[in-house]
Amino acid sequence: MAKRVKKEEAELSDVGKLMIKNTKEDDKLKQEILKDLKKNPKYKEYFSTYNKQTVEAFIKNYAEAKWRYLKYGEMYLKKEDEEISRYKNRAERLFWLIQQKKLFNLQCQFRAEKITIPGIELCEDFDYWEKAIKTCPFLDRVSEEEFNLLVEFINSGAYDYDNDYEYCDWQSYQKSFGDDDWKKELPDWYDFFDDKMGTGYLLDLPDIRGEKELKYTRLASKQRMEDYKKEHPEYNPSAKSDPRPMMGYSDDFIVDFIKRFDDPVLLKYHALMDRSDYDDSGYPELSNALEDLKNAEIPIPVAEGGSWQEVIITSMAEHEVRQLNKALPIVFDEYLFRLDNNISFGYSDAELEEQTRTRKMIDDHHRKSVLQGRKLNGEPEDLNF
Amino acid sequence: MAKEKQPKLSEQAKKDIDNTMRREKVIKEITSELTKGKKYKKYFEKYNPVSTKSFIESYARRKAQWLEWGPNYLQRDINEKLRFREMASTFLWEIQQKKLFNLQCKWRAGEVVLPGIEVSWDFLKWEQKIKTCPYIDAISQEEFDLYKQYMTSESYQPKHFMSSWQGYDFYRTEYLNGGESMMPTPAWYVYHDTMMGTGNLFMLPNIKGDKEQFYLNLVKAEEDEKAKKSKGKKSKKNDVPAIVKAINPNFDGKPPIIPDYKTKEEFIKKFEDKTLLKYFKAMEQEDDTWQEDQALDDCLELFSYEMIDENMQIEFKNPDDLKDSIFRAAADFELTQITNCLDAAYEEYQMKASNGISFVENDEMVEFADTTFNSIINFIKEQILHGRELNGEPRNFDY
Repeated sequence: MAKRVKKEEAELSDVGKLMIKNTKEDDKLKQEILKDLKKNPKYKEYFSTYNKQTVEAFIKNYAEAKWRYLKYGEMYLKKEDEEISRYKNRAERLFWLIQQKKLFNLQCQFRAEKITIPGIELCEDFDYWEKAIKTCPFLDRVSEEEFNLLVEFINSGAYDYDNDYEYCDWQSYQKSFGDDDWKKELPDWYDFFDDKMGTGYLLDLPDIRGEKELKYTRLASKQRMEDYKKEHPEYNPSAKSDPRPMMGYSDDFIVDFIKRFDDPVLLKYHALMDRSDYDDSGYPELSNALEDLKNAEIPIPVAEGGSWQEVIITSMAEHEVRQLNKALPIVFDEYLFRLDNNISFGYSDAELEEQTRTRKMIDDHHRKSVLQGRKLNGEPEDLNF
Repeated sequence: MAKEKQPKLSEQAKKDIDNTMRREKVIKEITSELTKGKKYKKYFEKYNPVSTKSFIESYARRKAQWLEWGPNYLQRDINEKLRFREMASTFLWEIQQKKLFNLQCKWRAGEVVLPGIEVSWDFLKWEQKIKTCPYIDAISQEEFDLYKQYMTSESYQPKHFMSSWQGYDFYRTEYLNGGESMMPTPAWYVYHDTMMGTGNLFMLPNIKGDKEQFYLNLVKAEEDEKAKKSKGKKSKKNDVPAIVKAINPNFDGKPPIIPDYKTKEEFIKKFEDKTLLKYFKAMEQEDDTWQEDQALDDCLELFSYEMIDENMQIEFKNPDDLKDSIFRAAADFELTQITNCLDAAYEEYQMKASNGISFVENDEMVEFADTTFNSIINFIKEQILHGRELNGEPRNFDY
């Protein structure tokens, strides 16, 4: 019997095997917790003060709960951290966008070879300082005028409620790769800044340094490809790929397939089981707005809107702007206080990890490629070009 | 090397593993059918084979889930659609609750005698079993019309969760003294009294109730006296209140331990490390926050699927409070749906009543009324009879 079960388990798919492995591990932990609660003498006195029948029920309930805490607690803890001072954190993140834009402007000038910056050798070095913006040594302190500009931006129609500004690539400079439309891809905040500060001309400066680096990295890349082909003679990039379209997993494919080949009742099951908890189609901002609403400690005034989804999103967007207006001056005061008293700006562990990762990427890949390209081009293997 | 001894799996884990194996078998069968079945060949040939392989894997997994859970989801959906109709049927019985309540006022004043009603607590039992209450007539058309009028009026208010239908004392005090108690009078009662002039029933004297209280006070005085005398000699078992002993003779006298937020927090602080306390606090919200979040999700689900089906407009009625507006819009929708079902519910009621088909109470309610609740009432009756004895009167309810 046990052998048969073992054999059946061995024949399962990877997902099936993983599910069974997880079930066994979970069960082991659950049983350990239960055993501890039932047998460990340290609880004896405590439980003896309660009704026996309810103690049994409590142990069962608590064991299940403790297992959940141990398994998912860490994940929830992170989630909770995010919720703390939601708007204060958002205001802080937005505040540093002032410095990101100033860094981006320096990048434009560096690429045009109008300036040199000690510590910046390659264009990609700006990616590192994007991650370490709070301690970037070659940026002026944020001025009152710059701060007011950010506040003006937040209160303007240009500020986008659902744009998760945390995840933008602030130093991504795409000019070398794209067409004239690349400016449209820049963040709204950059447009706003350029418009008010007259710095838009920096985007039209030539990307001399970037193109030089590109020349070298392309040489290196070509060489790598040739090396690869030598090592893998079977590799044939010119072989014709299958011209047929790809199948997807979207609703259209699923529904079409059921209609053609399967029991129509599956259409009902699919509609009921695969639908979201609420209708957010066409409203990607709704889930964020709802999270904000649930966390709101004060009543939120109702905004104008067409659909209920729009009403919720707009109400929460307006609420966010009101809260940011309160939080931003506090963030600016704290910033000035730290600078005036030489108190450094800290980074979270995750931010420090990101900095290390970015530094390593630049050194291991980009820097290496440029140096290799220089060599392949018969030039000295340094960055003096 | 010694092999680590694997603990025996729990029954639940065995069940989970069996389910996984069964599901995986189904997935395998579906995958095999999709891969080898001739009828699919032509269709799949239109697409890039890398993508068809992924599609088949994904489809098989989803189909297995649909087959496993689909019938449950479908049933839930059907129940959801019948929900308002069932609620309308349940609401109808509020008419009977009010009629029973009016009768209670008269009984307390000694204006009527009801066979089987010995003490005022008996009315609380019939509250639980209103559908089979023998003291009230069937719902008339006029009574139904009045109730429907109430349901569609501005006066409608859902019953406060603390209020019971036959809770006399709080409502009478509220009527006579004004103000609002912790158990507010149901809005339906207020509406009924206003429209039908039955509020004056509260003006009737509470003769029976006052007498019951008199006898219970005598018993209480006797118990206090006994307690004073036996002070210091009591064992734990004797600490158990008489009413609890009457309901559960095997009760060990110790308080129950309930796995609520507070107790778990206390337990963790006492026995676990600080990390677990952090996890606990991050994962367990106190009930009210969690319930509100859940209620908000429920409203949006209602907006998304049911209100759209009904082509209902969602109105945000409180301009100062989005959350409140959402809750109100959902409540308004539900109320409209229920009132729309009232006529059908009444028709069904009449059909059953005229054909002698009995109305069935919820099993749990009947069980509660006939067991636990009955034990409490019997205990009170015993106390009253004992009070009668203490007053030198016969052991009966003829007072």
